Amino acid sequence: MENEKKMITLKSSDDVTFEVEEAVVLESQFLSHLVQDCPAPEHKIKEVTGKILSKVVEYCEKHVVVVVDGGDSSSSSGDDLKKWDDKFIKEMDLSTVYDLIAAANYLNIQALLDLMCQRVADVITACKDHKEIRETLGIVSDYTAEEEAEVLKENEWAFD
Amino acid sequence: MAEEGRNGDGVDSISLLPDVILQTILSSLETDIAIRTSILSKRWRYVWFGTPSLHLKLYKHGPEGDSFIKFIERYTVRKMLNFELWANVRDKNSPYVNRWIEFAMSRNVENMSLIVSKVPDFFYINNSIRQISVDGSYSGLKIPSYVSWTSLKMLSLNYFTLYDKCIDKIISGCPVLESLSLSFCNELMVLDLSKALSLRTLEIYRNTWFPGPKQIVAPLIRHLRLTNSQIPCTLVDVSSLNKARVDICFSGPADPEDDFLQVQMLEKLQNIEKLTFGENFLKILSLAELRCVPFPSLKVKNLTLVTMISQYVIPGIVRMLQNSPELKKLTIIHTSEYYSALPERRIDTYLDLKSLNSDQCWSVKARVFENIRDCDIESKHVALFMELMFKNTKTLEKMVVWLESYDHGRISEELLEMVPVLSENNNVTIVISSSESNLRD
Repeated sequence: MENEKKMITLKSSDDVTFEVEEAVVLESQFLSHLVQDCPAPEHKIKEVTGKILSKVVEYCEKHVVVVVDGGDSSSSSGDDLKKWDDKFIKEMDLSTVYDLIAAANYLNIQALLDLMCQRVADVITACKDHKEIRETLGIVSDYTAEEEAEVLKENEWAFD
Repeated sequence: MAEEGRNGDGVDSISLLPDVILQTILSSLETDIAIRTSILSKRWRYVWFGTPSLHLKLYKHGPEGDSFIKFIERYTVRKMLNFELWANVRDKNSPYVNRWIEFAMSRNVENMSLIVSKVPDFFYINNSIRQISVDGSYSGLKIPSYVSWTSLKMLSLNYFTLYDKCIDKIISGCPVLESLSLSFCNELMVLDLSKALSLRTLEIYRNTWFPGPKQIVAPLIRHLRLTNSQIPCTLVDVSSLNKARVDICFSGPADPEDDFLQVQMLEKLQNIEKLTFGENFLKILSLAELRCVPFPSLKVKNLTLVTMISQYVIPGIVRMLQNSPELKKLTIIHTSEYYSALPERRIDTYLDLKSLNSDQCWSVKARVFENIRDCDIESKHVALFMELMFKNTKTLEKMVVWLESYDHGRISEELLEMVPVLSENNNVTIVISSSESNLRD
């Protein structure tokens, strides 16, 4: 059981390094190709900062542990993972969420991308109107009043 | 005011994300909310046109007349991922239900989820759909004479009136079907799946009011999840099973009379290596044990018990462990979120009736767990329970205890400290876990 585990070092754009097991890296399609094609001990990821990469690593490590130990996907390990995910995103501010979306997209980690997109969707759902969505997501409207009225009219039923 | 979503440079960073990601975000919103994002800014105006998944609640509102036609014109996706339609069961939008289904099928939808009171016959002929879930809302949804879902892998039918011949039609029209789920279907007597050559997974949920099917003939399936009603269904042939999860849903006023039959079902599971049993099933097995019904020997290697710790599950568990000479891994999932536990007063009533509720009948080991409620479960109870498990199995290599109930964090901490003592006299690896901590050995 205690085989020698292969370790890989990831280095962020701002030169923060993370030493992780190979299994953790395999959660990312991008990284698993990178590791296969170029078997260097250290990989620099220029597009991701240390702050965000640490979150990515935390997420991937948790998901690897549960999948490996839970073995044959008992429903409870699934529930447990979901609770962990909920906690993972609960305290995260939106700018970190956006950065993680960009990182998950770049590194091709579908489950993390979906989780982060779901978080934004939940934020949107919780807003009472589009003004609150703009405020919460930090979007500035560049519509004129006439244009805005036109867009409203276009999709009137959805604004009922 | 400080805006959370803006980064330090004051840039609206969500709007910098590519369309495909914004569309992923919109995909999990109800479609009217997704469309409302068009008013946020020019960047967002046309993004929803390409959202791969739509979720419409027609019972609230939906586009009608010109709005419907405009919607279809604007929507650009040619290969939809998900289409979810929740119609008013009393059919206020009835003409639109068919038009929406036709529209989604014309966009090569992969997964379709419908809550409707009727679907058009053309729904049953399609080459692109891989997953279907239909909730028939207790109405008499009928299957037409010809079904052809050539790519369908997962089918789930809920609250359906299903006759035996409907299943034959579905099976003959779904050559690659891998997973079938039937929840609360009535009329169904014999579920014969012997011609479903690709089918591997079967899920059945029954209750007193929707008791179908009464018999299951599924010689090719590998995984079974069965929630029985008080009256079990007969497993006629499940000879390829390697994994099963069984429980009982108690509903309605009936008393637990048919306990013996559920033991008979155990005979059909005796060659399976991986088994999961729920609390109600364990309680019924306990009744059977107290009534001295013979139990079959089991070949199970990996057993999971989803239950509260109480005296009412002990006799059944102990007998099962003693009859499982090859058991390697035992998982206890202690959960308080059990929605339909068989009330213990009803078990008492039953045992009183059979004159079995005396101290002679309950062993001391079960009495240890008398009157434990979830809120006052302590780590010592869990430890005693684990010790009892160790005593009744000789081959065990690993025990996993998941705590999902009240104050599980503290209990699991205390249990972790007890692990060295617990494993002193055996070679079992113990894993204690709660939903608040990681898995730890």
